[in-house]
Amino acid sequence: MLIDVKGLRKAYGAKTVLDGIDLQVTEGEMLGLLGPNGAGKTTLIKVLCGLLVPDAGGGTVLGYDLVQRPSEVRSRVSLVAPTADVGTDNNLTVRQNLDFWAVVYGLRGRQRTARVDAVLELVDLRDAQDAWPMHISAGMRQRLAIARGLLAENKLLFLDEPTIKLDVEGARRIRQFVRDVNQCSGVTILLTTHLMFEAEELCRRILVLDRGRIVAAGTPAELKQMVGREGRIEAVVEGLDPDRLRAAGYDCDEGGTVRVTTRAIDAETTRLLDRVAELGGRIRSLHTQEVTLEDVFFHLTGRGLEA
Amino acid sequence: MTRLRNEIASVWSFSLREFRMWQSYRANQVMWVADILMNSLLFFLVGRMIGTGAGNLLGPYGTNYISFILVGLAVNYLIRTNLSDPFTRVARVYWGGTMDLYLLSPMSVYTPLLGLMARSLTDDYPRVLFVAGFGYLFFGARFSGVHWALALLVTLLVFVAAFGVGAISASTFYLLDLKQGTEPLQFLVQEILAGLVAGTYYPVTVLPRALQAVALILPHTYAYDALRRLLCPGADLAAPTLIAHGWLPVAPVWTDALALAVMGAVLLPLGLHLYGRGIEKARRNGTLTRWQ
Repeated sequence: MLIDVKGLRKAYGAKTVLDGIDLQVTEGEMLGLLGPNGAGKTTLIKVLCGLLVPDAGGGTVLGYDLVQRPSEVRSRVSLVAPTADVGTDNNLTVRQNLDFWAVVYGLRGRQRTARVDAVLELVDLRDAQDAWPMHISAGMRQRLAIARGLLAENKLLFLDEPTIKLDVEGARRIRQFVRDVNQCSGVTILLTTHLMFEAEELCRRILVLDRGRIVAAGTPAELKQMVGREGRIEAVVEGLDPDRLRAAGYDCDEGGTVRVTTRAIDAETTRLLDRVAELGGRIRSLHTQEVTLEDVFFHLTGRGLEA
Repeated sequence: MTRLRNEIASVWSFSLREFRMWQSYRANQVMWVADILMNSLLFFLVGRMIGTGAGNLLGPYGTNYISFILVGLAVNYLIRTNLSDPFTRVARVYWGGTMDLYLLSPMSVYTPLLGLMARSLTDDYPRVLFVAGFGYLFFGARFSGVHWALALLVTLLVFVAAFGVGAISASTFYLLDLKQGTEPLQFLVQEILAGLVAGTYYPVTVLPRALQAVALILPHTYAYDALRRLLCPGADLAAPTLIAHGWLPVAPVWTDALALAVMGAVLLPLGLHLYGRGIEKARRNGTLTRWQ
């Protein structure tokens, strides 16, 4: 177990930010911390990094006691802040920035050069190594920040909102890099996001955080099941008598619109398409409405994620 | 041993980065030279206005007012840097959001403080040499090299004592939560007391006795006195000037050195301890960096 903490509490004055967090993370996992702004995601990450002292609770990170030996934890984890510019010096080139941090992380000589080369390659910044950070795109700067986080070759990487402020393409590339780092390098990643689809796309397990408490945990599918309602398929069918569709077991109105409610959208959609083809009809339009993590969050908290 | 090597390598890495940053601001370098030149010129003109009369006021520090003032100016650069810069460097790290990242490394919590001070190697400490150089080349300053080894030792003691005050000053950033405005310790010591009573521009003997007593708490006072005696031509090593010079049966310059050594031995560990306490307080309050 890389992270094993129980009962973490943290308050700033009268405001409780973390309210009894229990968390276990296994090696190689990519865990998503999902929650709106102010849910306590960054505070939780900082506590787990050893940057913040919890008011109560404790446990181990990488086998080191979080409260008794925070410096051991701090020296063995990596963190990428939500703002890529944190830790990036505009007066140094991309490579010089990484060189600086490599020494800080204890790398020297050829080992340092080789590691900087490796992370530049990994985040696809080799061609931009001599560029000034202010002259590269926001997405590239974020990749530079991730490269810095990977320099130390730590087993545990915290990514705090890694795609925030990026355009669609930039965010997509970052997600791809994050996936590669987890799958190819075996780095355990704890990722915070307030984007449902990002958590769903990257993480096998998601914790939903709201007002300092974990209100749900599980795989995306498990979380969706919590909503207790089903997804919907709506298809307009041509060239078939509605009675034949009804005889095939579908709810169909006189206009030929078929409605299906199901927990297995993909399988049911495929079955409907096959059945209509078998009966000799064709689909004019198809609309599916899945249960989303947004629905999950609303179901659990009564509020939207952007709240 | 590996740990120590890594800490030294980190400080070196900071030095290199700070040098590259300093290099990238060309205008700063011109202003830097102009500032030193103007300061030297200012005191040269004051010295000319006073004429030879100034030499008679210098007491045991010889007769060359330009030498007297430029040694003071150089020492002031050195002390000001070590005393004032730690706070501003910690503030820079806080506002830049990088303190978290520095702590998430194998470095000790003190290494970034030392590393950031490396900026002074390019920006501040060379001013001392430039002041002396300008003074010598253009303004008639002359320096004695007879006691260079002792002068070097005293400079080292000044360096440590001033950095001790600087570390205490830096600790207030987190300990007293002084994120905005002026840091009171450096303001009181450097901006108020040092200029008034330590003898930057005139010997402390011209001050009322009460102010001479206040001067004894400042490292500046001993630094000016010792280094002027050691570097100004014709200076007298034996004549007492400070109240403290009567307390020990040794030459004034050794009293100065001892006072600086005691200050360094007390203030530096105290400063580092308080700085560490400040970091721990910030870890509890969540105020290590601006980024939350």
